[in-house]
Amino acid sequence: MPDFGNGKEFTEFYNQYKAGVYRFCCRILNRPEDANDVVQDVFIKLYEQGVRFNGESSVKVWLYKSARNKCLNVIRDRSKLTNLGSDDDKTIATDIVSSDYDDSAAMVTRLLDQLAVEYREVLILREWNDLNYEEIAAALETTVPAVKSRLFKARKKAGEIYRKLYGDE
Amino acid sequence: MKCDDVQERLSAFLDNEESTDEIEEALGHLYGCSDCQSFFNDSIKLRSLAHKDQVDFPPGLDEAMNFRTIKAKCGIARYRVKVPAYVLSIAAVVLIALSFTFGFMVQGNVQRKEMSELMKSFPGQVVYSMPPQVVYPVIDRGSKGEAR
Ligand SMILES: [Zn+2]
Repeated sequence: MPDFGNGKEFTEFYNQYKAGVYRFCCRILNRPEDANDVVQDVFIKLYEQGVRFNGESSVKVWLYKSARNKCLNVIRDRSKLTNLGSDDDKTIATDIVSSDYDDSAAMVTRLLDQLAVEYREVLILREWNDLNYEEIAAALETTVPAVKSRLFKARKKAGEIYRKLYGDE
Repeated sequence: MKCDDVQERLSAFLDNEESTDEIEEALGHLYGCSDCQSFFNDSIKLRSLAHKDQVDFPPGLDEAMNFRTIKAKCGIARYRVKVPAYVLSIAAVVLIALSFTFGFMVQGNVQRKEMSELMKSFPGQVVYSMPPQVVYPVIDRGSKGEAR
């Protein structure tokens, strides 16, 4: 049971999961600075709740669950802003990321951007973060059969979007 | 077997989450179905795209997540003593009961004190019956006739 009093164990968890959690946030939000904020919030919360965990796997799942909830809040806030009239919000986000990364990153960004959030999150957790179905189900607060079905639909949808964007290359 | 069922199994097969028995039938279908082959190829393409995708971790984040900074940020919350809810409820009930008891005691004492002060100058007498009654003595003002 981790107790982060002396910081050693916290630093170990941080170093072990920071890249994965950042990758997840960055890809689901498509905007690095928002991902930065979410990752900081998530690890500060981890530090605050440190003593309540039972083992490493529960920390891993907790981190992704927490990151996912925070990302969904950011996406919700963004859509509120867009509804209020800031139409260029989404376009700017995509442009920033596209110019910062190479071609394959830009392809990924464009593809994920067109995928519904419910499919994007499950696909990223599986393909980008290599979580198994049980871990994904826990992080998304659902069941393993639901994860299996949602992943299939996400792949199917992603394939369609890929073809639409890039043809059969 | 429907294409959607086959593709769901193929998707789980790619993730090592499908049993061999379940996948055999789906693989049999795959060889003869171009739709399912497309789905399978797309899924593999997507995986290779995801694996090639480099998301660089921002170096500034490590600085912001320095343990000392975090400790300072959460200092107050970290050392807050957590008391279970039931202990808090019991404590609240006890406090309310105590405050009532204390209130009655103080009020009783004050009333008794006030009464005894009053009684010193009050010539009458209180009879503690139900209801309490005050008996006034006959005041002797020198002669019997005047008193009446
Ligand atoms: Zn088929």
